[in-house]
Formats: sequence, C-alpha cells, structure tokens
Amino acid sequence: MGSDTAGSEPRAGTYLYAIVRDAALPDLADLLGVDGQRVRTIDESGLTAVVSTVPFPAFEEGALRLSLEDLGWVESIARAHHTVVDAVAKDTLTAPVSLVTVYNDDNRVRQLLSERQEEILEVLDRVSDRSEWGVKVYLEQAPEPGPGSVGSTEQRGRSGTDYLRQRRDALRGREQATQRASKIAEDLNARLAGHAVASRLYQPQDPRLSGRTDWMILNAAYLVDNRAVAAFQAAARSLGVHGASVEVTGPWAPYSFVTMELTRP
Amino acid sequence: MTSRSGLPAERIELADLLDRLLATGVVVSGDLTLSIADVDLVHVSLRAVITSVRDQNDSEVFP
Repeated sequence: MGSDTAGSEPRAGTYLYAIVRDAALPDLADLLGVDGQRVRTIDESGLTAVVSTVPFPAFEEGALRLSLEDLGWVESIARAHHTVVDAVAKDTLTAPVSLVTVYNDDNRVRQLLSERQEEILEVLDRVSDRSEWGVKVYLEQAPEPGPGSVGSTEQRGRSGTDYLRQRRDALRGREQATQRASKIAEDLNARLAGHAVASRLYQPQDPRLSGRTDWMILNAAYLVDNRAVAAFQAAARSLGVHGASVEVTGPWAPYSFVTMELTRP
Repeated sequence: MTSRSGLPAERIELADLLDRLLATGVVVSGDLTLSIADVDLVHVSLRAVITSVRDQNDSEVFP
C-alpha cells in the first residue's frame, strides 16, 4: 500500500493514533478510525502502533492543507482520532499521538518504533498508573468592556478629554480585573498541582469554540496517580467556593503528558 | 463505544479535544507541514486553523 506500489492498487497512507507496549490490547476488531477505516496494529520492538489506512491523496499535504481550513472536517477527524485513542487507553498504558500523523506506509511506522523504542518506553513509564484530568475554571463577570464598545453614538458628543479619561479608567479597571483573575488562577492551579505529579496550562478556550461566554481563567491538565484521584477530585470541587465555577473532565488518555518530538530519523 | 472519560466521543467538547490533540501527544517531526515527497511523512499543525477562526472574527474596533 506504499507509494511505491505500482498498478491498480489505490495509493494509501498509514494514520498513526497511539503507541502502546506490545501487550494484550483490547479487541479493536470493531473499531473504526478516521474515514471510517478499520483500526489495526503494527508490532515492532516490543511496541505496538495503533493505525488505520487512509486514502491518498486526501491525506497528503496538498489536500490536507485545504481540508484543514474546514473546522467541520477537523472536528470529524479529531473525534474519530479520539474515539480510537480512548478505546485503546481504556485498559492499556497508551501514548497518544497528535492529530493527523500520516506515514507513507507501515514500514515507516515499524522504523519509528524500532529506532525510537527507548524514548517511547520512557514516555510510557512516565504515565503508567496515572491518568489525565482537565480542569477549567470560570468567573462569572468578564472584565469591563471599554466605553468604546457601548453607545458609541453618545460618545461623539463628548469632549476628547472626557473620552480619553474614561477610556483610561476603563482600561485600568480591566487590567486590575485581569490581574486579580490571574492571581486566583495561579492559586487554584497551585492547589491542584499539589495533588498531581505533573500539570500543563492551556490557553483559555475561545468562546467561539467552547460556546461559553463566561470568563475562563484557568484551563489546565493534570497527571494524577490513580490512587490519588479521589483527593484530586475533592480538591477540584472545593475550588468552587471562591465564587468560581469549576468543570472537571476526565479521565483522559494522557495526551498532555506524552509530548515528545520524534524527528524523523 | 464505552468512553474512558465517561462521555461518548461525540459529546466531548471540541475545544477540550483540540487543546489536547493539536498541541500534545507524541509529535513526530517538528511543528510544521512537511512535504511528503521529502520526508515520507505528513504532520500538520492545526493550530493555524484555530488561529484563523479567531482572526476572522476579531472585528471589535475601538473608535
């Protein structure tokens, strides 16, 4: 199925979802991945790659560039990717691979596993008996909008000096609110990190993606020892008493804690 | 499909998924689009997609 396959065989690539230790994987026979393709495995050097076949040229650079402009397409791929990773990680120590990692053929994946075996095993050790939890914290009131964004017709009647003063005050207010929020966020993060072995901060989510308009002040992921999960969850729940609203998600496959760059050998 | 996170995959928030799937995980090669002709591998950073979504809508203008 590689690009060197001549003749009528349709050209195809190998889409990589996750890498696990060469151990008993759950039955993946009914699992469908991106593009509705059946999920399969490639074993090499004590590791197993979870993959499926994807059609070329749809999954080659040129077509991908166009497809990636379409958030609907991105969403469908992301959900398919996650479904596979989630099914694998349910019972198996798993290193998820980032979205849209496509190889020319299975041999390239084998090569990756054999050449990078040591690093991959290290990463797997790091997340063993641990799970990832997401915590998002919102405050109800967003920073005051500047005067320019409301009643701009009214503004026209005012003097430039009045306007500038108001504008400066509004900016100062907003700055103070932001500083206060980031202090709260730091404090909450520190408490949660105390129950975790690692943490990772994400940018607050864009309301256009999240659909939430309240003010996200913390968006973080925590790697928690499985035996400490109850304590972590209790700590997360208690954050709410500060007038913040708290959302906990998980357990996730340890996406946020297996980050490693494997430059192609 | 039983979900590990207790939610069916289609119910998980897209924003949460993209946080994890775009910036993390085992990243093979650098954070850029590579030519399949050169390196036998395509890895595309989708961060650009999200950025473009933001830029498109960033139309708030102060007078």
